[in-house]
Amino acid sequence: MRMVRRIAVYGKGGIGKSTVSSNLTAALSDMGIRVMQIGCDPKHDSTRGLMGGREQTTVLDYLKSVPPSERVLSGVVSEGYKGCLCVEAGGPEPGIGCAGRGIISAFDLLNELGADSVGTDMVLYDVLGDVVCGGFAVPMRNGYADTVYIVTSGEFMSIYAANNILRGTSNYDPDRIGGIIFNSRGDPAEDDRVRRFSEAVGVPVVAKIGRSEIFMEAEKQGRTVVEAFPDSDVAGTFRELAKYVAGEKRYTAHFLEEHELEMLILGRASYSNSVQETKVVYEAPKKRLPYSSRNFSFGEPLGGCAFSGASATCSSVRGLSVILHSTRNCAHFTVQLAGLSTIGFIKNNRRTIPSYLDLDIVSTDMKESDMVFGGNRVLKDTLEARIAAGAKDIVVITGCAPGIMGDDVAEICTTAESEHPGVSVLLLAEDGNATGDYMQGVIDAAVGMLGKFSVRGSTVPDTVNLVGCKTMATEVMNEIELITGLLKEIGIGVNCVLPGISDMEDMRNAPNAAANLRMNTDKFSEKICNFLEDEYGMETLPVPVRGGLAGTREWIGCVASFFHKEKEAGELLARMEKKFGGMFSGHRSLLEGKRAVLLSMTRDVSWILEAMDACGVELTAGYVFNRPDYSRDLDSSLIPEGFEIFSQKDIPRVLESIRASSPDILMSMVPMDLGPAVFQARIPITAGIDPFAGKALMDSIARSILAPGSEGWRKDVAGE
Amino acid sequence: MSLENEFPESFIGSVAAFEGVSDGYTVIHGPSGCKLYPSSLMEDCYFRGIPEAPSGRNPLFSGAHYFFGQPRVPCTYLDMGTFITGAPERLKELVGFVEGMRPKLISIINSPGASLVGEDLTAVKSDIPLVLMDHPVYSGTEAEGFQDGVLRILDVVAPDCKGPRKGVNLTGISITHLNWEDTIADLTSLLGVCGIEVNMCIGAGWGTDDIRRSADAELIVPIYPEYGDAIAARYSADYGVPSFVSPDGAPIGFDALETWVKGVCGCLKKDPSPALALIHGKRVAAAGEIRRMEARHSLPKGRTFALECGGSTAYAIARFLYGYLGMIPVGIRCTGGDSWDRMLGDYLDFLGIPVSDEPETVETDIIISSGPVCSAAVERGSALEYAVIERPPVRTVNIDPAPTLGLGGTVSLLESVLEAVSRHHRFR
Repeated sequence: MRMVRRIAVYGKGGIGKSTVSSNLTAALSDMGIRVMQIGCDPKHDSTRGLMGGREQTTVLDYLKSVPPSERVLSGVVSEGYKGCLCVEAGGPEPGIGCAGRGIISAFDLLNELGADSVGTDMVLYDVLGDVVCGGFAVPMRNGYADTVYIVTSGEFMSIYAANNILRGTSNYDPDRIGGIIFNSRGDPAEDDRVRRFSEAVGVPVVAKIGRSEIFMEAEKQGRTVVEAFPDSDVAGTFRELAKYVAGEKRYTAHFLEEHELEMLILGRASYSNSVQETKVVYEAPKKRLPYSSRNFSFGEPLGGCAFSGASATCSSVRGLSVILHSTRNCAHFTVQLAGLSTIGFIKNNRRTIPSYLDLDIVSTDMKESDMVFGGNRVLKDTLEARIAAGAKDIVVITGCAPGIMGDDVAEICTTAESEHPGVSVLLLAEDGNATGDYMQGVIDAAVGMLGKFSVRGSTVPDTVNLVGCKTMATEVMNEIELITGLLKEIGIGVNCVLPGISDMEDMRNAPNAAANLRMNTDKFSEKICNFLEDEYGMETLPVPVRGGLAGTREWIGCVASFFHKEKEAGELLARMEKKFGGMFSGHRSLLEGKRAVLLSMTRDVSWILEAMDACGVELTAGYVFNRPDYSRDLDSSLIPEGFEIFSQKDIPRVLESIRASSPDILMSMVPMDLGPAVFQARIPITAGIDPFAGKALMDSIARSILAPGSEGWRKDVAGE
Repeated sequence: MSLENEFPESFIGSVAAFEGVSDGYTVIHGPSGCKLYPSSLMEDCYFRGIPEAPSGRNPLFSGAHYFFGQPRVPCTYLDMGTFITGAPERLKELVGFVEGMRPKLISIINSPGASLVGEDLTAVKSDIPLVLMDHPVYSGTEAEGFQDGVLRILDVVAPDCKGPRKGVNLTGISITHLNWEDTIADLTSLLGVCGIEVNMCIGAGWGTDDIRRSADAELIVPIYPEYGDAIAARYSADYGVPSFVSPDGAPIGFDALETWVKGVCGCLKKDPSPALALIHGKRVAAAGEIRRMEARHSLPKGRTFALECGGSTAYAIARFLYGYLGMIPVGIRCTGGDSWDRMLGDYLDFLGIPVSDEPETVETDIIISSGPVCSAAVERGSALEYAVIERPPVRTVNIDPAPTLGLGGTVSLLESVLEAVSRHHRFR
């Protein structure tokens, strides 16, 4: 198989890489070596001197304009001087899209079209400037360039770029440096600076190109110096360089630290050291992040992405049209959340969030070309289509890609609003997870929708907003119904359910409830309430909804006190307590004296403890698993005395401790490896909010006491 | 309104191809937002438990870092900061951790964001073979992503072509296809009675040893053609193994199944009669049931169905329900397989039957699709009944095999449809 040499010519922008590359290609062509030169610079002028000054279609323009089924290699490869092949990768317009991404896409297309199999001896990549991002580093990665040449002048910034290129190469396979090509600017001091740099990094100067007016003259003719002035000294230098390049000599990339480079070239220490010694005379006030999720605030690994949280929340609001500016996979993952909620209807006879049945949600389905040239166009088109279809209230939520590429989403949304009176467009620039985790997206959606669409009017007496209803919770609709029912019994109505699961009319009226009632102790519901307090001067009840009799007593008491409904609440609670008192008599006869270990992922276990107490079950040990993505949200004060908080590294010890205590029952959110002698009862990962939540748990435990210790199926498990 | 983004897409397809290797392990280099759903789906589709937890899945053992409580498909949880700086060290650390689990193949896939910034996966080195996908297809179909993933695996673990050629290799089915193992078993059984041995299924449940001997087959047979045509082409071009793609689409419905069996047997010069006899037996049984329905004046003829599924499945089912039962399609949307979609469109045009492209909202006697689409249509009241043939399912416990395609799949679909039209009067 024919071995194709691949060399990359890197250097700072404007340093003369294209001139060096095209002359080198011309000189190699004179030697009978067939070269394919690939210009990897958005300004796409690398090969012009090899093609008589003609421009050619860039790979990216071709990608944009020709459908996949019609693409051919000859559409992007032109023949130049003495049969060399010329390719220009091209790039997006300045300020739009991602040029680095463009390089990756261009290379992919060349591979796809079989550029490898056209019979070249050498591929020469002429690569833009510094190593600024992953895309421009592609040519130096393994599999592309086997040798890297660095063009530099003696100016500091040029040498700085050369050093960065060495640093970039050392990240891949470092033994691929061909040498330094010194393109002199004519400053006499340059030679010494380049020499010192060359010695310090252990890479020789393999050619020095002097300044000459014949470069300009050749360029005017649309030719290389090698072609236009074949007998000149400059042409001779390129011929020598071509022979050297053909020889495959390579060096290891060593690079200098910044302070070493500055000392070497400028003769002074790096400013970075002196900055550390500078006394801080002014400290900017820390940016207040009042509506941050717990995950984001603590700097933990982000659980999910804000895009997804915002999408799930916004799509649960009836009457709001959702546009996901993202690739399809982002949209698909998000819509699956709604789908899994919807499936509960026939799977478990569970009520579905109404808007999830008729999702008003579209994705811009960003494709390869949108990644290179930017997604502005596809977003504009989608937005216009939604407006044309009658959407009035629209939210645009951005994924990673538009954030990385810098799509001008804000301008597009503002323009759409101004061009279509009566249309409101909310932008949630989540940029995937740039703003934070899933819960941050939920908060952002709530804050965004309440800020954009809600209007403060007259307070509706005796009403609350239910804040913190979770779209992903399987029981959410039942929970809303339960709490709404309990509130109704004491004469309180529900104004709006937040952050979603409502409709636009309720959303507009959200600030008009008399108070906010948090549906859980989680941080995100607290933050949404904070926004309603800050923006609309609303009040939030200090006690959130909690499950179990004690928890219910607490939150209903708080609501009653705020609305002066003590009498009604007293009657309701008396009925509940009576019911609770008679609920566990049968259980007690079976469970009294049984020893149990409780292992929870939430800190609110009072609903379990009160049920255990009612049944006479003895708690021998209690543990709370401290996993930040589950439990740090919750108030530590809820943890009962004597409970141990443990983390992942403690699992073996905790397991051993549980085994040693030989309990009758383990109540845990996940099955532990304890064997069938210990009955393991499942407790939910998040606490239920039913006043009688403990009964179902105790039912399952009591019945299990009547069941055989080891069930028959266990004998049939393969290998046991 | 568009529900098109409900379709599974290319990123999931590639992850499924990697997770389809029984002794492999997959890593996503990207944010946790790109892993939570794929991890959950892969665990659900192909349950393998985790070695540290003998009782099976146990979130305590899969901590917050990398795994986020899910035993399969960990990720490097990139955020905007690491998008800018890159995160090769984190990736190396995670791969080191995965190496400790002793898989025989590690597949690493860049999330769309990571590929956009050009994250370089080649920085990772391992003694275990690495499949690196630094640039997955953006916004493609699941079938495209799946085949792309399988071909990358073949690039790394090349078949060795050492053994004699025998039997067939199935392909063109992903672990994300509903009850994929049962479908493979059903089709394997049908071929088995004709004396044809199925060696493996390329892309779903095969191991690294299988990959190495995967070119030692006499024939490659895609099950869902759009999930296997490129794979079959690779085996043909690189290893000279021919393939058979059924002209009737996926093997569901009596006629399409017979075409599939005859086609495979024809390629291998085997007698299809034993399998055709089994199919005939079910045909007779089905006809008996339908005859009884006729006596009750409740024939399915003229009743309606709506479909949302892959192109080759939609093509086969639409022809089956129309031709065999006389039912009328009222809404069809294909989630991939463009050529089958076009063929189905031509077929319906030929019949002169106008069909809505919104099966989830059109009034129909039965909707045939994934669990969520069926559930939404039934709750909305647009469909009276449903049959689930795609993921996510409604039923998650199947003690008896529940193939989606093949003879079992055909009978199961037929039962659902006949049950639906028996239970309900005509919609309007």
